Amino acid sequence: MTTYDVIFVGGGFNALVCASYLARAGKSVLVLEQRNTTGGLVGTEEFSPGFRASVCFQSAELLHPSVVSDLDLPSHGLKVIRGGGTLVPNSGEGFRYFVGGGAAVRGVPGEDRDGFLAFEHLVKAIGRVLEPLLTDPLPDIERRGVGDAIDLLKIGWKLKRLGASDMLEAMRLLPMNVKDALDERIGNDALKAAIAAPSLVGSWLAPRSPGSAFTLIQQRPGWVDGFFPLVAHVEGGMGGLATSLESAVVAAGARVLTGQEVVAIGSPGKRVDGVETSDGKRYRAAVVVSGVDPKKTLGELADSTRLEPEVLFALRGIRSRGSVAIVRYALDSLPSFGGASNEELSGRIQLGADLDALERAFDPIKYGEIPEAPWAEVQIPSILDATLAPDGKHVLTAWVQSIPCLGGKPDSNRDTVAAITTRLLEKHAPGFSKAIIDVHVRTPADIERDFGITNGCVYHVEPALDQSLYLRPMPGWFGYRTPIRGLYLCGAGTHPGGGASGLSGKNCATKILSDWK
Amino acid sequence: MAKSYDAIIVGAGHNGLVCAAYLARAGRSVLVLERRDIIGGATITEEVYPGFKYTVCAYVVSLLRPQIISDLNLPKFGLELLPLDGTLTPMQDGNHLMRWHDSADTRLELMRHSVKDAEAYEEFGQLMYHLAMTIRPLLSTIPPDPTSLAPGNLKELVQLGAQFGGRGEYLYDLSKLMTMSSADLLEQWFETPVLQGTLGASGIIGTFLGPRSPGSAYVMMHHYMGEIDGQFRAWGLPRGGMGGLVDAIAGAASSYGVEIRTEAPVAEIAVKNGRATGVVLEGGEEIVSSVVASCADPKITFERLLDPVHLDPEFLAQIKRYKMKGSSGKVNLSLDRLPEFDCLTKIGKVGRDAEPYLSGAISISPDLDYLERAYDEAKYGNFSKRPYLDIVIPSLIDPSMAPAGKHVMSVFVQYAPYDLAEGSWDDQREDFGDAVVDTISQYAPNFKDIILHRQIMTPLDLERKIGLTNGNIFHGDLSLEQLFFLRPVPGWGRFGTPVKDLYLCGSGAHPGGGVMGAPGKLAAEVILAGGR
Repeated sequence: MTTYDVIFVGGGFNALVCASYLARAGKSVLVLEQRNTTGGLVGTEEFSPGFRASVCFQSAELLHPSVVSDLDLPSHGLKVIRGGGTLVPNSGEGFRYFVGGGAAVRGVPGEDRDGFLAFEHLVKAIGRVLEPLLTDPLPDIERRGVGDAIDLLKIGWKLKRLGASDMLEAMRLLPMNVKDALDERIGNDALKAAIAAPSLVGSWLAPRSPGSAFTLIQQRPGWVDGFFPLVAHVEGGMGGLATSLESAVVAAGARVLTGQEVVAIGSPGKRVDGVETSDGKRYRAAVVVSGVDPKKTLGELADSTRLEPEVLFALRGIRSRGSVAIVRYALDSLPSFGGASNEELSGRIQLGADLDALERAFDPIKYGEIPEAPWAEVQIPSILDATLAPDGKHVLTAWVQSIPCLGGKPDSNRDTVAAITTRLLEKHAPGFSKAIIDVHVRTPADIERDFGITNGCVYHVEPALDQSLYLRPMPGWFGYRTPIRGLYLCGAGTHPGGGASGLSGKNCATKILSDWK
Repeated sequence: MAKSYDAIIVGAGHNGLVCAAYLARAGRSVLVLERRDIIGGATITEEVYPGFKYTVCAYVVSLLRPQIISDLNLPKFGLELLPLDGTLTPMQDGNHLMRWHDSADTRLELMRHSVKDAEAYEEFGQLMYHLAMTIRPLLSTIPPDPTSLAPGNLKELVQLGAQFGGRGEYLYDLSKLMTMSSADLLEQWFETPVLQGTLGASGIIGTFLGPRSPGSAYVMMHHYMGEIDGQFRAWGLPRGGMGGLVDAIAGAASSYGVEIRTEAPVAEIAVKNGRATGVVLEGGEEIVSSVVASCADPKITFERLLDPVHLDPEFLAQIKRYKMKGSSGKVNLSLDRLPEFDCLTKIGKVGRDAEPYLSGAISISPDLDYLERAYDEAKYGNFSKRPYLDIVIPSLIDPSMAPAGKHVMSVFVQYAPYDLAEGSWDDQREDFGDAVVDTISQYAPNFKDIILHRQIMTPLDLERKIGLTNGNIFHGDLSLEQLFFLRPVPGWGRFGTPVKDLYLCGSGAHPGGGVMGAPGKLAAEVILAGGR
C-alpha cells in the first residue's frame, strides 16, 4: 500500500486547485474522484447527441487571476472567450442590455447614471477592502498571533482609508437587503433586477432578504469588471477549465484516479490516517483533504463519533438547501429575445424583469414548492463556441430558481421544471418552444444524486451573511481545518466559497503548507 | 420677556418624559410640549368607550431599563407592574402550547409535545441568556464613533472591544445570531412546529421581516433581554394600563420641576446661526430654550419641524432613506365576557379555570410557515388575511380596566403594511378588523358574539393619531444597518444632530424602539455632558 502525503476526497474544481498547489510544493498527492471525470460541477457533458454544454457553472468570470497564473492554466489548455454583458427584459416590453461598469458602463439610463455609479463605487470599494480576506486564509481573531494581528490592522487601515463617509456607508450596506440598497439609488426596474440577480444565485435569498447586499459584494468582487462583466466563456464549456486543471495537477506530479468513491475517512486515535473506497481499497496519508461538502464530509465520511456534541450541533446548523435547477436545451435555431444582437445574446440573459419577479420566484421554495414563474440566468454558449453544437444548431443553458430539493417522483419534478422553464423562455423569446430538439434537466435532487452534494446545493453551503467569513462553514471553523487532525476541507463550503473562483482550494493549500512546517 | 428654559422636549412620549426627568433631576429647567390632550405618545391608556380602558398602542412593559425605575423612583409615583404569566399558543388542530413563567411547569408542558424539545428548551434559554447578557450593556452605552481616532473615542472603542473580547466564546455565536434568521435558529434547536412558531413570533414584532428573513434572530434576542430583566420584576402590565407607567414618569418629572403642556403642538424648531434656540408652536407662540430635544421620530423632526435651509442636503437625503416601514396595527376590543378557546375547552379548562391560561399573552403563531405566509402577503402590499396576533386581556390582570364582569382585549396585529398595493386604509380599515376577528374566531368560536366595541388602529391611524411616521412603532426599522452607531443615520449615532443644541431622545435614536426608556436616558446624559 502506497503512502501519500495528501489524499483528496473528491476531484472537484476546488480539490484540483488545492491539489495543484500542494503538488507544486513537492507533496505527493493522490486525488480520488467517484465519477469518471474530474471537476465536479465545473465540467462539460454531451447532454444530447451532438450537443455539449457545461454541467452546472456556466462561465468563469469569478475565477481568480492568481489561480490562473500560479497554476499556469493557459499553458495547460485553458482558453477563455469573452462574450457579452447582461441582457434583461424590460418590465414594459423589449430588453435592456448592460455592459461593464464605472464611467464606461453601457446601457444605464441617464437618470440612473449617478445613482448607479455611486452604488457600484461603494460595492467595489468594500470589495477592495475585503479582497485580502478572500485571497488568503482569514487572520485568526481568537489566537491573537502577531501575524494575525498585523493582518487585522491592515484591514482596519484599509477600512479607515475609505474615509469616514464611505466607511460608515460600507458598514451600513453590509447587512442590508439588496432591494433597499437599490431603491435608494436607482429607479429603473430592469437595471435593479440586473444588479440584484447575481446576489441571489444559488442562495436562499430574495431581494428583500437582509444580507443580500453582502452576497452582491461577493459576486462582484474587485477582480471582476463592474456590475456587468463580459461573460468569460471557457472553450469547450467549463469542462475546459477542469481539463486544464487536471493537466496542471498531473504535470505537477500528482496522481488522479477516477471511478474511485471514498466511503470512509479513517481516523483511529485523533488524526486521519487515510481513506477507504467503495471497492474496499485503502490509501494511507497523513493529510486528507475533502472537496466534498462539509455536512457529508464530517457527518458521513469521517467518523462522526469522534466529534464533540457542539460540533455535531453546529454541523446540523449548516444550511445546504439546494435551490437551483440546471436546464439545458438543444436547439434547432437561435432563439430571438426581442431582436437582440448576437453580441447581446452571447452574454448572460437574466430572465426576471423586476425585483418583485425575483421575489415571487423565491416565495414557494420556503414551503417546499416549485414556483410557477421562476427566474433564470441563461447563456447560449454555442454563439461563441462552435465545438458545442452541430452546425447552425445551438445549446442554451439556464440556472432556474428557486427549485427545492424534493423527494418523491424525480421524473415528474423534472418535467415540471422543464415546463416552467420552457414557459419562461417562450414568454421572453416567442417561438422558442418550436426550436427545441431536446431538453435536459437536473433538479437539486438530481445534482445530489449525480454529484454527491448534500441537497444539491451548488455552493455546498448556502451563500448568506451568517454563513460567510468566520462563520463559514461553521462558526469558528473558518480555517479549512476540522476537529479531526489532519483532515481539511477545501470545497466551496469553505471561505470564501462558491462561484468557481478557486480561492477556497488555494487558501486551503496555503493553510496546509503553513501547518506542515 | 417670556420665560426661557434650559431644555424643551418636543413630544411627551415615554422617552421624552424620561429625558425631561433626568435633565430636571440634574437641576435643569425643562418644558415638555405635547401635541395631544394626553401624554404618553404610544404608551397610553384611553377610555375609548365608557368604562373600557384600552392600552391603545403599546401593550406590555418588558424592556424598561431597571436603572430608570430606580433612578426616578417610579414605584413612589404609582408604578406597579402586574405580572403577565406565560404565553398560550393555540394550535389549528385544537391542541395548544402553554409556556408558563415557571420553568418546571413549562418543561412538563413541552414534554407533552416533544421530550427532546423539553430538554433543549432550557439549554436554549441558557444560550440566549448569555448572548443577551453580552450585548445588554450596549443598551446603556452611548455608541462610540467608529470613524474617529480621537483619544476619547478610541478609549470607548477599546472598552467596547474588551467587553466583547472577555466573552470570546460567544463571539462567533453572537455574530451568527446577529445575522441569521429566527427560523433557521429555531429549526436547528427544536422540532415542534408550535414551539418554533411562538418563539419565532418575537423575532418579527414591529419589523417588516418574516421569520425566515436574516436579522430576525437579533430581534428575537432583543425581546429575550426583556425576559431577563423580567427577573427584576420589570415584565408585565402597569396598573391602569400603559398610561400608568407614563403617569409615574410624569409624576417623577414634575417632582423635579418639569413643566408639561398638552395641546401645545410644535410647528417648528427655531434655529439661529446653526443652533437650536427654542420652538414655535402652531398658534405662533415662541418659546426660548438653550437646548431642544425631540422625542418625535427622525423623519418628523428633520423633515417637518425644521426648515430645510438649516440642514445639509446630504443629511436630508440620509433621513429620507431612513427606513420606517410600518408593518403592524392594533385592534382593541370591549368584550362582554371571556372568549372560550377550543384548546382550553377540550382539556376542561372553562370559566374560572381558563383564566390562568388567558392571563398572560395569547399568541396566534401556530408555526413558522403561518408567520412566513402572513409576511409574504405583506411584501406585496396586502395586509395578512391570517395575521400573527399577540393578544393580551389587561382586564384579567387589572379589573379596573373594564366594568365588572366585562373585559378589554388588546390585539397586536402583523402584518399591516402602511403602503397598500391597492386602495387606502380608510377603505380597508373594517376589512382589516374583520380579518383579525375571523382569525381569533377560528380558535375561539364564541368570539364574534362577545364583542361589544372595537377600535381599529391601522398604520395610517397610528400615524395620524399618535404621530408615528408610516405607523412604524419603533420610530424606524430595527435592522442591523439602523442600529447602534448607525441609528438613525450613519455619523449621527450619538443623539446629537447637525443642528447644534438639537438632540434626538426618542426611539429613532440608539438603542431603538420598545418601552425601554433608554434613548431618553442616554440623550439626557449626552445633553448634560454638554453634547459631547
